[in-house]
Amino acid sequence: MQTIIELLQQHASNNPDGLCVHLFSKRKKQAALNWSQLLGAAQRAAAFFKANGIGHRDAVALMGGHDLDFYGVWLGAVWVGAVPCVLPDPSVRVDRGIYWSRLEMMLGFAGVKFLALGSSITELGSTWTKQIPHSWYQQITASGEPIPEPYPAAADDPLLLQHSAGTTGTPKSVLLTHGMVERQVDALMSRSGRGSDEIIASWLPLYHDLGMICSFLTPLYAGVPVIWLSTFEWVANPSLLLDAIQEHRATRAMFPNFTFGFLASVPETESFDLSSLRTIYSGGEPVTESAVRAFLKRYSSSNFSTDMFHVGYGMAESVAVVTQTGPECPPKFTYIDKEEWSQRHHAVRVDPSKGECVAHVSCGLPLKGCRVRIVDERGKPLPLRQAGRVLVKTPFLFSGYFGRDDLNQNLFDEEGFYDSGDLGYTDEDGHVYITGRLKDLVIIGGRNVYPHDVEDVVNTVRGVYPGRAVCFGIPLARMGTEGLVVLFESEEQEDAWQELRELVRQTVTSSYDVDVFDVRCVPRTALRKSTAGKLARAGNRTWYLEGRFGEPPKAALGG
Amino acid sequence: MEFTQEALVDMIQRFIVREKGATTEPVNEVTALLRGGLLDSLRLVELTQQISNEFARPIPRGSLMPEDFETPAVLWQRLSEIWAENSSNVS
Repeated sequence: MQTIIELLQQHASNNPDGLCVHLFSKRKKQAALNWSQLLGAAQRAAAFFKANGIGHRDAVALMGGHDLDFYGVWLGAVWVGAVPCVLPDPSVRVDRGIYWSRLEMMLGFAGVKFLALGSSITELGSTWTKQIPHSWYQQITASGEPIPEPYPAAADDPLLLQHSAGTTGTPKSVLLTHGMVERQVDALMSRSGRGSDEIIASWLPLYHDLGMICSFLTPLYAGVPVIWLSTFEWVANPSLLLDAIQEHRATRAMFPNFTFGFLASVPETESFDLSSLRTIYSGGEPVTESAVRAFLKRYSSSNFSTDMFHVGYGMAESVAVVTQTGPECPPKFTYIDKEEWSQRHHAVRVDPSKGECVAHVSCGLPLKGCRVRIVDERGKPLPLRQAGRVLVKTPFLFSGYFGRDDLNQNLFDEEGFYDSGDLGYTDEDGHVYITGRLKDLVIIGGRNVYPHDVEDVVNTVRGVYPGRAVCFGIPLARMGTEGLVVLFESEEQEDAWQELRELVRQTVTSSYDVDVFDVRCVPRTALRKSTAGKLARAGNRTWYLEGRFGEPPKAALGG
Repeated sequence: MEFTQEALVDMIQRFIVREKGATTEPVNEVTALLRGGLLDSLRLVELTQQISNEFARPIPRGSLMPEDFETPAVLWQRLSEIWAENSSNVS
């Protein structure tokens, strides 16, 4: 095994002036690092950490923005054998008190020994965090000697701590070893057939497993450059990604499904030369046929084809990616009989011109060494094209959540397969299709939102009848992602409902930094209950879409 | 249309009513647009395009960040700076 530090030294020796990362921005001054400069920054950061008593297995948290120094600090931590974990940046939407208290929970679970802060953090927001030794990225990479020898990491030494991609929910972290990450990167590169002339454009946040693995670590391992955009800057200006591709002749770009819809809405008056692009990588949320078609139509002059889409499926519990399409196995766009699917979850192919159908997009074949099994609720394997629970077993599967023994019972079956909590099926070519979730998870723009946590916070709003709030996701075809709908009962007079709805929306947004698509207040006992007497998310979702709580917005009905 | 803070507030109010429905309190210059859940991340782009169309002035790509939409007053300040910079660049 070659460690990431050994590879960094190799890249700096073989290609010292080659571009490693370019910070692309229209707001900040653009800046770049070559491999030699990155090596220097990592060495100085390592000297800093060593001088401050940080070493083997010490968790170092990194947070606070889109700074070039992030790279050197992250690698400097690994250099001394410490374990970096990247935490979410404060969003302008979230209440600061809530943000810092959630951060304290994450830092506590990880046992963080040092906080490395980027420029978007001007001061620490809680008394507890101020007590943790901390410094800013610029100071950490400023100067330092002597340069320590790199820690001689073995395959089972920890490399990084990855938090689950959840916006809500009690933090769950996965400890990834050097060996796990190396095997994942190797499997990804085998499938993608990545060339040494690749240039990657990405806006993905690095606290998310897809961003960390696909647009930070894999390029570092492979020695290819990244054109790096700030997530926040991109959200307000999605066509910046296309500017980055055009200006730097990027060959690969990261496109979670909602990106397709986002970019399809860029005015036709704006044009871009995207001829350098060879691969569009999509993961983090299911790819939908409608979002892809909208994107292809908008950029028809670029002659993109769906063969260039690399669609991946996976989870942080298996580093990042378990199945993926690639040059040898492009994504399949399949049309399925609607009736057979909705009644029996059986994917029967039909001619889309001949009847009602739904479109499914495949996530490709399992990567090297990975196995996927589709089973029923008792664990019995299901035939091809019959949807069921998706179990996975991979060479880079975790062994349990870090510091959470309460969650680590019964994670695997007797053969070592992990239940992903997703629903899907396989076809006769071995392609995997992910079609839903057992858990009521909502995925908005690639971020996981747990309904239970949203409902908990809604229940604290004065005027909401306690225990009578429910939320769920609905597909928003135009946006290429899901929308969060919140329903709650109230005994207040109807003329107070408008204000209550606004308060609920504000509370959810400022607590969890999530977009709320629709909020409805309904009279007492109007929400649907299951036979066990609990509020039924699926049942209320059906009623909502049927218009039982008032006509839903057009976007909810595919408009 | 002349670009004043009042005109911008009015425009944002109409946008929000169209996208989200009527609000209890009308939008004013200090309304928390993002934290209040009135604007979501996918609508920032649409609002930006709407502002550019309504006031007939281009907004250079990358010149607005999410924090610029914190309130209408913050947004008005930032847009004033952007359009002042662009005018001085042209002249």
